[in-house]
Amino acid sequence: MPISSRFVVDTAKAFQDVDFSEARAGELALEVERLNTAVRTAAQSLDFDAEPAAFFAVLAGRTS
Amino acid sequence: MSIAEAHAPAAVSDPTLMTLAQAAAAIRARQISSVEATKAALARIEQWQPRLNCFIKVDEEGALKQAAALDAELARGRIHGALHGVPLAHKDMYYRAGRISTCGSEIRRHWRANITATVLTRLDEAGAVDLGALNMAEFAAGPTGHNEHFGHCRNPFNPAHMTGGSSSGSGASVAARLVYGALGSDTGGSIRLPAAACGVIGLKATYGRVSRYGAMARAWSLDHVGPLTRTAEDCALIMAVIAGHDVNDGAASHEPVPDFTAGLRDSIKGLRIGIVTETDDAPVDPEVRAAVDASVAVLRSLGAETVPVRLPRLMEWYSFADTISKCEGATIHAQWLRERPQDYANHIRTRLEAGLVLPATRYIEALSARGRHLAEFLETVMADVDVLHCPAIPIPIPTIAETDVDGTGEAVLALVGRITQYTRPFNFLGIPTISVPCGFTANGLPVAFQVAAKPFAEPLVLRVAHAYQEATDYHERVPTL
Repeated sequence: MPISSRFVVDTAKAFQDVDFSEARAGELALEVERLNTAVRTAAQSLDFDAEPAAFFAVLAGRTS
Repeated sequence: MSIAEAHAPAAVSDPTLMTLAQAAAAIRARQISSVEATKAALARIEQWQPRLNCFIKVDEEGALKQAAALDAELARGRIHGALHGVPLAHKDMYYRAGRISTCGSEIRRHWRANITATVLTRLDEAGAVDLGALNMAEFAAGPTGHNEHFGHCRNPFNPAHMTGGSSSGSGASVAARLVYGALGSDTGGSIRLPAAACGVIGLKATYGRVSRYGAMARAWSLDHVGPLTRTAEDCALIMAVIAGHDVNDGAASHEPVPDFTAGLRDSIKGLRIGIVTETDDAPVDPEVRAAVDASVAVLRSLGAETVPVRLPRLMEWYSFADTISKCEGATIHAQWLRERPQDYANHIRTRLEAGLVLPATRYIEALSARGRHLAEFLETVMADVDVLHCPAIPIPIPTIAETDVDGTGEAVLALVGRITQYTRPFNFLGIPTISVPCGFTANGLPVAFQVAAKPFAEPLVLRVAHAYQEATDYHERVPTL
């Protein structure tokens, strides 16, 4: 289901106490939809054990 | 031969035209004093500042006092370090206790820091002179150099054109020879973009290689501190001072710091360079492509072997980085976004807002993907090459008006979006990446390529950049008033 401008307005108000106009919320809905879809799709292939700290281990050459 | 020996200084009528390495050697040899070098820089700043607006504050009195003290110490035989007496200036987001750090914003226009950034402490200890605070995108959140609060910074090669951002003043001041080097910061390209647009070197080191303590945060997981300089050699000299573990930065690496200058002059013969193949979702303008391809030919002529490589996940990395940047940025700015949204420029506030409503799970997925994607990148793309080569900015440097996102419109947003296509993915991977000037387009603005390498291989990217600069003279083109 696409993210609606109404959802953005309500979420921003409820969680962040930030007010967005309907017009701005419409722009944000598109942006959030794009990023949400891109990351969710890419993350489907992540292992169950994937976690943020793994990055530092790889960076330092301590991969298993 | 050491860098100092390599620069037995030649007589130069205008010290501002020396490289950092030359100026440092000349001061050490007492051919010029730090006060003379500082006065020459200040005189040039006075000439250029009205045209470029690259300084937010020039600290003439403080710089001259510092220079005089360093000259006095040198006369007594005491040399602080590799940068003794050399005038630098930095993006106005490096805190110095007691000094205003505007971060390019209205919100912090009068805010005074109560700590000093580790990188500034290290530069002080190495004897650098601090000329003042450089212009930047508001809160380091824009890739073009626009700033509504302090005025746009302008490109020294044509003031109608953008400098790139967010380290706009760093790029412009180094290119115009106002300073010998400057610190920038890079969350999605903010060192490499102004370096590329202004025709200078810009290095984003490995994540954690340089301390972020006392540097304003844009997005903690992607923030990198690094230098912009005229040459790769100058860059190595600054890296030698600022790199290394810092107990005050929890993400600072314990990796031993190499001698960044030691292998700089080594040949690149036999080095395997992966040339990134252009894809439909990250197209490169033909004029930029020609200059970038020509740089490949130069590297080949120096004995490097080149092989085409594909980065099929480039835009995936971009989306991960964009998500992390937006979520962390929104977190950092949440209170001000609630209480004083009117104090942000529109184009800055709108860059942050999506992070207020993106789910936490997406943010953590993006962070969790980072280790696997870096490992896969190292095991596949980098398995058969030593470094990667790709464009820095894939389009000719546009004008300030063309990239005015407050003028808005989808076309402008799309144009600005293209600017970071080849830089932001490397922030996600956290690997060292350098921007190297490699020509000019028909509009007279610089073109640059990037060299990226495996984690902590900064000496290697510096070596490639140095070899290229030894064979070309793009970095010697000085903009004129």
